[in-house]
Amino acid sequence: MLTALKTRFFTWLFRPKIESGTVTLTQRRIFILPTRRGLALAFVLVLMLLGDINYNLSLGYVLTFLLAMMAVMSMLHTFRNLAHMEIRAGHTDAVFSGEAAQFVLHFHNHGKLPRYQLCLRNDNGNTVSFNVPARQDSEVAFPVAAAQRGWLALGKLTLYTEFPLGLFHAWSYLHFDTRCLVYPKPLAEAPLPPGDAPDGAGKRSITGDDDFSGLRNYVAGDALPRIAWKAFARGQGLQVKQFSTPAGEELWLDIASAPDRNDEDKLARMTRWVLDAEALGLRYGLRLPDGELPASNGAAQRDECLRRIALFGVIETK
Amino acid sequence: MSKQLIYGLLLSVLMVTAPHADHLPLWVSALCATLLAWRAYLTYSGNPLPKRWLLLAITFACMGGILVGFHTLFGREVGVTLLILLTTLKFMELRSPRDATVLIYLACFIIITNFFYSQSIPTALYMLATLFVIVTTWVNLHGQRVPLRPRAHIAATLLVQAVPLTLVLWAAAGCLRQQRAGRQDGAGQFEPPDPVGGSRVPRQLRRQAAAPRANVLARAGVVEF
Repeated sequence: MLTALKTRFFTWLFRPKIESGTVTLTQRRIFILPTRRGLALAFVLVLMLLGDINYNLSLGYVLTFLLAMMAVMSMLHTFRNLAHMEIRAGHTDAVFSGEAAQFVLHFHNHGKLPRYQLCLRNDNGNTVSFNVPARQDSEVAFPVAAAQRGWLALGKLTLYTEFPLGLFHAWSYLHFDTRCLVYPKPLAEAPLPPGDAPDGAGKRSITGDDDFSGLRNYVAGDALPRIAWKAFARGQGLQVKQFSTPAGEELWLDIASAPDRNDEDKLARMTRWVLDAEALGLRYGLRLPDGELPASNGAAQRDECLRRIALFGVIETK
Repeated sequence: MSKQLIYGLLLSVLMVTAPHADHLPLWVSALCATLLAWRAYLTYSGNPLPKRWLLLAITFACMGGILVGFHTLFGREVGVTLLILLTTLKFMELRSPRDATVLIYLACFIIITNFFYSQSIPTALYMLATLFVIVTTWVNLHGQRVPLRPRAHIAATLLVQAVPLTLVLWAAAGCLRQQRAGRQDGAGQFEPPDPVGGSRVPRQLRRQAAAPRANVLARAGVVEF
């Protein structure tokens, strides 16, 4: 009975809901309570007042009242440190399972007062603290550990501050509908499956596939032996040698050809295949029980393959 | 704990205890100055803080010294001396923000004790400056990465904004005291008032009631009332 009442009260007070778009921190969204340090100061002030009364110190009265009123003013400052901030969730890059997803939040400060020492915390205790300068946009990355493939939601965050004197704790809840795609963690090493030559010419050796076709810009994850060091020495920046397989020679990454027993291991192996095939500049297609992706290559093909692998069997909740 | 914060705390405590050097025993002032200098050096060099047993030994030695010097551990003079000694000793185990908060509160409290000895205008102005330094340090405690200028600005804003309400409260307290004084003929004075006031307690009784208290204060070194 009491807990039900408490839940209803908190629902009415905090109005938990998942939001999208821009959130403005209005008075209704900001909560404030004294901290333990604030209560301790109140106790110290009472002791001071007793001293003033006992010894009749006029200046002591002035000092005690000045400190007390400063504490009251600090409540306004703490509130103002959060008030009227505009927050929206930004784009979050996909990560591999086992890494930390960096959820990006944009904080916009309209006012001419800089906001100091704001903290973001989630239920797992991850904390990030930052400042937002006056009339500026701040981008804050909030790390959340990605434990399994699929969608990772940001969840409920608490934005709080105790600036300037730590006597009051002002906070607000932020629950954005933003989510991050998590790819399976790739196996450390997995040989690519044999390519299907259309003429049925049997196994094709990938290492022998050195039909040089050109250079492209280096992207993180490219194999080191593929980097064109000569081009780098000429001052053309980091470039990667691209090797094309003759048209028609396509690599099919089929879940059925993965030797593992359970699906997660198969998907981890396929993730490695996609990364390796892309690094080698092959044309590759994806074959999963729920559909095929025609062969191609490039970053878009890689991302689409990884996306399909990550979301294989994941039931969409939205 | 940033070095800047520790230097700020050292400056605050130094400013707030400096006027006490006037009347404290010489060994207490010297010990306090040594402790503060030692802490500043430790902060500067990044050496670890002294061991707990050493601090406890110093604390008990101070207690002994006070007992020998004042023949008591109670009373106002001894209280002030102890407060200052323990505050500087607290510096030697300043490790967490919590300790820093305690030091800031202690510094505010020591300001009051300065008014036992002087309530002149220069003292008031000096203490206001000290309070400003304390509040600037206080802001640093909760905003480690905030530069000095904005911190000083925030501290000044807080103090200035607190003034109007302080005046209101002070006036109210003044009225209250005057009312009480009207009834009792001087609230802070423990001399029995003239029987002209509103009180109906016989003079003899009042004199007896007030006597023990006055004795305690007299023993504590309060001469003027």
